[in-house]
Amino acid sequence: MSIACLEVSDLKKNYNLGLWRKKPFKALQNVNFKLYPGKCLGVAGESGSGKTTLARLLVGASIPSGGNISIMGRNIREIDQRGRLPSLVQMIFQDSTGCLNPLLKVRELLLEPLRIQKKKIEKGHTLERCLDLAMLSKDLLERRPHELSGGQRQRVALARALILDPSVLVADEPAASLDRSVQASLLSSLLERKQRMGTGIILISHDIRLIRLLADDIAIMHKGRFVESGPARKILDYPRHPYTRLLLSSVPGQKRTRDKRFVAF
Amino acid sequence: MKQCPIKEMPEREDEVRSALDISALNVVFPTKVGDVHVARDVYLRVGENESLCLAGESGCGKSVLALAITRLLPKKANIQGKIRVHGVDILEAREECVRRIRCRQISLIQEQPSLCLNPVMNIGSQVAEAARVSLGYSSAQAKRAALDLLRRTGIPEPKHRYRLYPHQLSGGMNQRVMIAMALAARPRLLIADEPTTALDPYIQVQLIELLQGVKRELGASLLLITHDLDVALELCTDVAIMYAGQVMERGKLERVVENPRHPYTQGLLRCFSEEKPRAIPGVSPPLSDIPSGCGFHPRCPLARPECATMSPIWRNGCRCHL
Repeated sequence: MSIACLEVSDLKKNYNLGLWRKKPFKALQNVNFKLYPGKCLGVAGESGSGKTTLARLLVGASIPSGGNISIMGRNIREIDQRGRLPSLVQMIFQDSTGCLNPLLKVRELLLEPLRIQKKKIEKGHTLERCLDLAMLSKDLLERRPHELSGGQRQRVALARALILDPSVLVADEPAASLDRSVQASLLSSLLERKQRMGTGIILISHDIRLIRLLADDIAIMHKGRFVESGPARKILDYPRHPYTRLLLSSVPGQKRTRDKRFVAF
Repeated sequence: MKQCPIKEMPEREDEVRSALDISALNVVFPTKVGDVHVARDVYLRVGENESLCLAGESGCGKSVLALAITRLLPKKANIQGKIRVHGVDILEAREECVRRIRCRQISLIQEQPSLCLNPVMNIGSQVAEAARVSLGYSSAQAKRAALDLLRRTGIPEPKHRYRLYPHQLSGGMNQRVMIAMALAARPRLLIADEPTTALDPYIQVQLIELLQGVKRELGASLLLITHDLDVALELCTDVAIMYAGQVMERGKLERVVENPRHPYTQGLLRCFSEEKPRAIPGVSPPLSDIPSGCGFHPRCPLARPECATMSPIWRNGCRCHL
């Protein structure tokens, strides 16, 4: 088997809340997993279960309180945080409005990661590739973020993340608050990326319906722990932990559509 | 408050019976870049105790319709057509009369409760205010009513939570507060604009169950605005699919899901039905620049030459040439 592009062992994160509270809040406890190239790990759980904390740790946006993260076999602490790390791991966020500079045009937004990484900008070629990655049309280049729709903004964010060819992509609720058809097109971009380029994807979402379309493995998070993890089929068809069962059964519409086509659980 | 007769002009029997009746509604916003057609020739009807889901992609004019029903659109909007709420023409009625209808008959639940609630007022007083204004309760009565509403909408320890502020509650809890406020007046028509979007499914299911209970208890009609047909399946009996300001298909929800007629509805339902996600190609057009003929033809897999030129007529609950 090839080398894991992301390996997490015994990861912990504590937050100290307030000056007087003695016990730290344990946002993450003993998280272990391996992610291989071209695979997707879906992380599901309700809000407040520590999904975003995990994402932030993986991209080096916050420092773990314990445990190890290694990317392509190297410990995250040994990797140059500003130089090397961004070309290994990239992240897309839920709120694409908040993470795109409103003053820049789409063209500048797309080239910004290259500029920061001091990679050579071969004008036409890179931009075309960039647009290609996210299936954006050319006439969007001169627009600013507020002139784009939510789905288009999320695509720009995706293109920015993919332009550096990361080996791991962390997608934190990429499709929440998008329409179903826009969700589907975003997911198919991710799926294609995974299959064609062998990018490892961590898809964090509270929506099991999205995860089951993309993920090879699923981990269920609850109160900062992985309560159950394993191959997607196994977890969806034979959930063992009671919390997983609860999560799987609380999908809107599934009671009546159990044996129908479009939400097949 | 000045009393205004609610039954102003019920003309025919069936109009009295339908909670909401929209006919030939056109809404146009004149802007610098040209006219924006937000609603084009919309016909909708929600009967007493019925529930209709208005579904469509974002930016297709769903929320504007909700605002039009409550006559909350800005003055510059050019509105034509008829909107009747329990037989009263909302667009023609006097301002006090509309105010009273908004107060007593229609309640609107918005998408983002944290933005709709007053951040400097505790949640209890906000619910109590709604009861005081709409039912004319005294403050003591209103407080009792508010506590009762908070309890019934499933907020644990309502006495304690009464004094909390919106930022101290989670999104799901805030939405419950919004629902409590909407119920304060015992409305006969409930308009819920994406009530569960951006909440996690676990909370969604709880809120859906709450709304189901509310509907049963009040016997109110419901207009649910959403892009998620799964939510609609739990709450509604009828559905209207909207695209680019037009209603494309209308009918019983079961029928539409089982056997969609319009190509757009088919595409929408197909998105997540198979192993791979399958999106409808292209993006929905901006409302300022709707394609000629059928608004959906540039994205339609079955488009024929006449689709680009002729606007399709309404046939068999579906607006399509095919």
